[in-house]
This record gives sequence, structure tokens and C-alpha cells, in this order.
Amino acid sequence: MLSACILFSCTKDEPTLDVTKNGQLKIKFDQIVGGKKLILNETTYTNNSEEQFIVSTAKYYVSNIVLTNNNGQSYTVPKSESFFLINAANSESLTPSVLVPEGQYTTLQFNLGIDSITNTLPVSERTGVLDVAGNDMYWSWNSGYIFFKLEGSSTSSTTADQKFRYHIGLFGGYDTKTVNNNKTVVLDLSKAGTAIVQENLSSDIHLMVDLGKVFDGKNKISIATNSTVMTSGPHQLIAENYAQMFTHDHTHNYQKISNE
Amino acid sequence: MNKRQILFFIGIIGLVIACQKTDDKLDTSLFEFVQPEHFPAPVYNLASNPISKEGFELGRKLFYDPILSRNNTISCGSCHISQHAFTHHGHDVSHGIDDRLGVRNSMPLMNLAWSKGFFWDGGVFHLDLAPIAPIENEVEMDEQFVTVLEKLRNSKDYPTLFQKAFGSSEINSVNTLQALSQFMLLLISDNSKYDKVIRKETNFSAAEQRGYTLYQQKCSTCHQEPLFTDYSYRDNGLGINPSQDQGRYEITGLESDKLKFKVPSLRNLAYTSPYMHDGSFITLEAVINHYRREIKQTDNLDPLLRNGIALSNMEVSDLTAFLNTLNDEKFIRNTLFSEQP
Repeated sequence: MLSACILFSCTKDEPTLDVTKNGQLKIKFDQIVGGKKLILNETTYTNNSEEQFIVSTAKYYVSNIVLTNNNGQSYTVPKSESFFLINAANSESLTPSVLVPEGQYTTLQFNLGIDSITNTLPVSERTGVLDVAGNDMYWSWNSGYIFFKLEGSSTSSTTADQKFRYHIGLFGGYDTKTVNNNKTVVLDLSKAGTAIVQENLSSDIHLMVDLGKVFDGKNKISIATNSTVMTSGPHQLIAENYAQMFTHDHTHNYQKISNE
Repeated sequence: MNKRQILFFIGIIGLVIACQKTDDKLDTSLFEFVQPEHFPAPVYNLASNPISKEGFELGRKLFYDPILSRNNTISCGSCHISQHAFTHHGHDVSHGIDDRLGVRNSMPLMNLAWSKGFFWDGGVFHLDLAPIAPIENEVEMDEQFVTVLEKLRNSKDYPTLFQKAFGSSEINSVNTLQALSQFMLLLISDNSKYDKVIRKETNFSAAEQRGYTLYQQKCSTCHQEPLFTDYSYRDNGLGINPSQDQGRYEITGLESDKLKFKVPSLRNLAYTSPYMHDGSFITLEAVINHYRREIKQTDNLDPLLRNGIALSNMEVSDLTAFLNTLNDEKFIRNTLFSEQP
């Protein structure tokens, strides 16, 4: 009886969505490792190779966001507003938001990395998270952005300082076709909560990002075998793994936007 | 003061003003990008970074300022010396910060507006992005680019100089890199004897002319006129060196790029010894002899070099005479390009 009431009231109150109006869509990136919360420089985790490690840095670019609504129509967030650097050490970076037309969105798609066009932009257009100075996500000698950075320490590491460092990039080459480690991530939102975007309100999509997948995703990566991976070693296998880190956990719709 | 005296003084003032005007005009024209007639259109988009006197001078100051390195000891100019066509003459590989050694010979800086790729491996594809590589390289200047910007912001002179050059005292990665580019873009070498011959201002000697013909037959596929490079990456049969440098492969990861390096220009060879990516050749004669009889049959050896380059001793002498017409003394002596007192 009560649930029927709620259902009734929901239906009654359901707004008419107007595609000419924009509402906020917020994506929360919640980092975990296996079943545990990520706490930088503190918590010890174990991978499937029985290697214990702690994480000191976890950073990655999320770009080119596309949303598809329940009618199958897609909305691509304007490219210039669609670059985010998610940095576990910077809580403000973990909840990027974009403006999208009102609608019920059932699919979220984004690129993990920085596409080739953006990698070849004139320097004058490389500002904010794309600035070649200050973000620590740019290779100066092999010009291109680092898409994904995971660093930490482990007694399994074979480096002198017992660290492991995975810096993964490579956008496909400027004039020679090379490896492209950009990965498209497509998440179905309909099961854990369609994102209903409405003007003056926020729909908050909560994603779980399991950094443990870097070691135990589609490909098994061991710290002992690969303590440092950058432009050589199994960078493509790690990229296949980071494409699998994301799962949609739940959505909070009709959230008030605080006037900060 | 009588009328005549007044007129005289006005005349003097007029002359002074006129002189100043002419001076200013002369002055600014030195800081313009003048397209050499026999060069192709530049690769660099000059409209994206209009060159001004103030921008050039700021770029030059940055180029010669060791503030760009971690411990303020090494500048760009430390390894790119203007009198040597901006190479580190006499050094096979350069010693950078704390006397650390790199694995490659510092390349000459000239005619960069036409360059499609930078460094021996082409790892950087735009001039504006090139300076970050030596700044951040741990054996060169070993500094974070972001820290360089911070040091510039906190300096006494730079905010004013940026204000003059860009209309804002804000210092960021964009205007810092653009200033460096403005300086480097004007490092144009187009006044060698070869250039004068092409412009019909002079003629080759008989030996130079014979050497030019030999060059056209045997060298010009890779070292194309008028810049004397085709900007491609090729394996010229040097083989692997002790530092195991695989060249272009380290950028592309492609087996077919192993041991490939950028074809360097043949301009200003008199000032840029030693030669090759690792500076292992001291003399031009040794370079020519490499192509005559020391080519290693490596996997990616350029097909054009499979049988070496056949040259008689007489031909070597003629070819050398021609190569010497590519030296541009005006370029290396241009005081506008050197460190200012």
C-alpha cells in the first residue's frame, strides 16, 4: 500500500523532460582496490599474484563523454568541456560534472586517455588539465599525455627503491601509426539507476573504480615481473585492464545543486 | 634666437626624428620572419605566434638563462652554441647538469620553422613543445617545467619582460614556450655560398660545381635541397652503439624503426663537428668514408645505402668543396643570436 503510494506519487511528479533545457550530470569516481577503499600511502592491498603493495599515486584522464538516453539518442558533451584529470590525491577532481540536455540517460560512455587530436593541439590550447606543465601527466621526450598513472611500493618490486610505476600513454602516433592506449569505456546505467537529468538539479552517477583490475583484470600483471611499465613492457595489457576498472554502482537523481 | 636659428633647430629636431624613425624601422625588420625565396613555405604556423622584437629578446634571454635547469647551471645555450650553429662543438655527446652525459650529440638549431620533427628520434612534433624535453631530461637540465615557470614568476626581471612581449605579466607554459619559439624561429641560415649561387649572386668554382653534381646524384635523396634534409628517419648503417640507442624505435616501438635517426641537414658542417647521432665521427672525411666503405648491413639499413656510395678520391675532394659552400658564416657570426652582455 505504501509502496504503491510512492510509485503513484513518483509517476505523478515525474517531470516532462525538455531537451532544450540543460541539467547537471555529476560523475563520482570512487577508487577502490579489490574490495577495499583506496587510502593512499596507508592501506596494504594484495593482488592475485600474492604481492602486497600500497598505492601512492593514482591518476587518469577521463575525456570525450557521451550519454545515450532511453530513446537511443546520444549527446556528446562539447569536447572542450570534456577533459577531466581524476587524481586520487585531489578530492575535488573526483566528482567532475557536465551540463547535458534533460533526459533519462541509460548509457555513459567516456574515453580513458586523451585522443590523438588533443595530443597534437597547439600549445596555446593546452590549458587547465591539459597544461604541459604542472599536471605531471605529459611526456616531454615522446610528446604525448600520460593517460594513466599508478605508483606505489611493494616488497615484490625489483627496483632499487622497491617501487612500482605504471605510466601508460601513447595516442597512436603523429606521423607514424603506433600503439594507441586510449580506451573507450561504456557503462550501462539502466540496471543500477538510469540518470534522470533535469534543469536546476543534478543527477549523480556513482562509479566504482577498482584499481586492483590493473593487476588482475583481463590480463594478469605481476609487480615482480613488471615493476616499471611506461612505453615499453606490457603497457597494452595494462591498458586493456584499466578499461575494465569501472562499474556503475548507483545513481542519485534530483539532487539539489549547492551554490558554492 | 633669430628666425634662422629657430629654423635650424627645427631642422635638427626633424633630422633626429627622421633618424630615429629609420633606426626603428631597421630595428624591427631584424625581428621579422623573412621567408627566403628559395625555401619552401614554413611548417610552423607563424600566425599562431607572431614574432615581435620583445618576444624574440625574451626568448633569447630564456635560451641563455640557466634558471631553466634544476640548479641554475645549465642553459639551452650551454649545449647549443651560436658560433657552432648551435651545436655543442667538440663534444660527441653533451654533458648536462652535474656533468651527466647523454647518449646523443646535440643537434644544430637552424631553419627550425621548416622542421617537421625535433630531436634525433622525432619524439617531439612541434617546435613549441621541444624545449620541455631538455628541461625535464635528467641528464640535461633535470628540472620540472612547472618549477621553471615558478622561478620565472618569482624573478625580478621576467614579469616585466613578459608584459612587454605578450601584454601581460602572467607567466605560463604557453607564453614561455612561444617566446622560446620566437627566438628559435629566427635562427635562419640562408646565406651560405650555395644560397648566393641559387640567388645568382655568385658562382660555384669548377670543383664546387662538380661536387654539386655529385651531391645531386648521390646524396640528394635524403639530404634534399634547399634545407639539405628530407626530415625522414633512416638507418644509415652505423650499427648499434655502446649505449644501445635504437633511435626512432624508442618513440614508435616499431621494429622497422630500429636504428633509424633523423636525416640531419648538411648546412654548416664546418662548425658542427662531431657528426652523427652519437657524435662518433670527428671529421667530414670520416663521414664520407663511412658511406664509401663502412656501411653495416643492419636490418633496417636504408636500401639506397646497401652497396655504399661509390666515390673516387677526386670525387671526395669535389664533394667536400661543395659541402663547404653550405657553411653560412653570417649565420654563426650574427650577434643578435648570441648571448647578450
